[in-house]
Amino acid sequence: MKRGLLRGVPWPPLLCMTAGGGTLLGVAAAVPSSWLGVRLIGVGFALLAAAAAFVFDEPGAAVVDAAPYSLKVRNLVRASVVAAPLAVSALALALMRLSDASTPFGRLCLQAVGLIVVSVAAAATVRRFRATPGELVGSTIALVVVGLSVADPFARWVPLLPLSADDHWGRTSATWSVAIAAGLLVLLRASRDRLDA
Amino acid sequence: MTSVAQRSTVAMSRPRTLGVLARIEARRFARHPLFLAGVALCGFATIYVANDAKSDVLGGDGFFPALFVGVVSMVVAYRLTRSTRRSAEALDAVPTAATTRTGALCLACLVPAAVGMLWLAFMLFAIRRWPPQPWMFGTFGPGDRVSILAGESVLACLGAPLLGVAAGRWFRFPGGAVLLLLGVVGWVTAGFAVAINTSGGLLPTGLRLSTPFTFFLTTGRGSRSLDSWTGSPEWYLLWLVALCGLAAIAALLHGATDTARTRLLRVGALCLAVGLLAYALAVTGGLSRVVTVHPDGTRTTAAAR
Repeated sequence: MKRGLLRGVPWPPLLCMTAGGGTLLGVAAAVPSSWLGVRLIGVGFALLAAAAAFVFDEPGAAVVDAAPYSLKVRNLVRASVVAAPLAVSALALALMRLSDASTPFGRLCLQAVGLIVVSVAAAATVRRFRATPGELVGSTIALVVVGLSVADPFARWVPLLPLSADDHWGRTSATWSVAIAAGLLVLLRASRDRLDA
Repeated sequence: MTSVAQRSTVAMSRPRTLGVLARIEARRFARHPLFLAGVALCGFATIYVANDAKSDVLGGDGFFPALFVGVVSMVVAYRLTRSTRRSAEALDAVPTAATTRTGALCLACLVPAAVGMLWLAFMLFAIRRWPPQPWMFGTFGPGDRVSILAGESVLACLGAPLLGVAAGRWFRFPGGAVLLLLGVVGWVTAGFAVAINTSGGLLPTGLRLSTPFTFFLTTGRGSRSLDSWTGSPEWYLLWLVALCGLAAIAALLHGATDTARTRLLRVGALCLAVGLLAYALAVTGGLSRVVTVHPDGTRTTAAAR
């Protein structure tokens, strides 16, 4: 059953974006604490979050939605694919930590997980209305991440994407922890079958 | 008589169809939630930074329309272009050429360009009304300032959505919007990253100015000085105009019939020639080395970094 449910995952964009994000983070690890390195982390995170948005794409939704599997089961199986961008981001950040000991590994991991969870939750919500939410959610998330990484208008209050070790991280970590919790709740809610809702 | 009348009717109806379609597309563009959010963020960021006396007027500020309106509009234009894909079979049957529909989408890109123009007008007014200290313009004169600001706002807000339309017409794979967005951001970042580690030179300047957005003025080290970057802002502006033209032609070429295709290719070749000339002049003109300007007016030319 699991294999059948995973057959509809759009693997090419998901794997290409995951690989692209991982490569950019890898290059950032090679040039730590530089102008380029910091920018590459932002773009790499954007790619990984966008990749995660494609896990719920189902071009054959008309058939799959009528199949006797609950939405919760389908979403749970599909959500397991998110392990790929999560693993790649953790691996790349560990590499970054090895090349530069001042890299805030735990905090950057929290950001990466937060972005991916928010992306997946948004995709699951949009999937209720549209068979292929990946393009819409992925591009929106990428836009937001790129925007925040280069010009965060809210930085005075809560810097949402601080990428270097010397930024103020307290509020940021708290915000991302709340975002992860909220994202998981939204994901659970979006996975309820319409008749149960 | 009949054929003359028919020909004149067709000739009259083509621009009218284009106008009607362009109005519809412009309305869709202006009402798109992403575009509205981008414009709101641009306004917020501009006013927020305008209150910050430390900001460099021609550098950091110009980033907001390019990012929040330009880049966002690129994704919006891509999505609007792709939105008709599902009904492509029905659309192909209507007596409106594909180039007319694409032309209407290109004309709708004037909506973000108008926002860029408003931003430029506001900045020029603000500079006149609350003039910053002279050192905050770096080494650039009044003409350079207008060129830099226009390139960062109006042309970034026009060119990016035109590129979005072109990509929406030609890309055939899922995730195209993400690839386009991060490709453009990566291109700009890479161009500037090469330049930032040097103090000038033809190759770094050439790489930096090949991108559709670049800075000519940035905050120097310690944020109490400003770095004026190499290259000519005026010629760079013309290079951007040529890039806009090339993006529009690339979009229009999709689905163009033989005659239209030939005409578009000719215009494209002319556009490319003008663009390359402007690019060469932009790289070789202007400052040849990065010049740092301090608050007391002293200038230092950067040695090799």
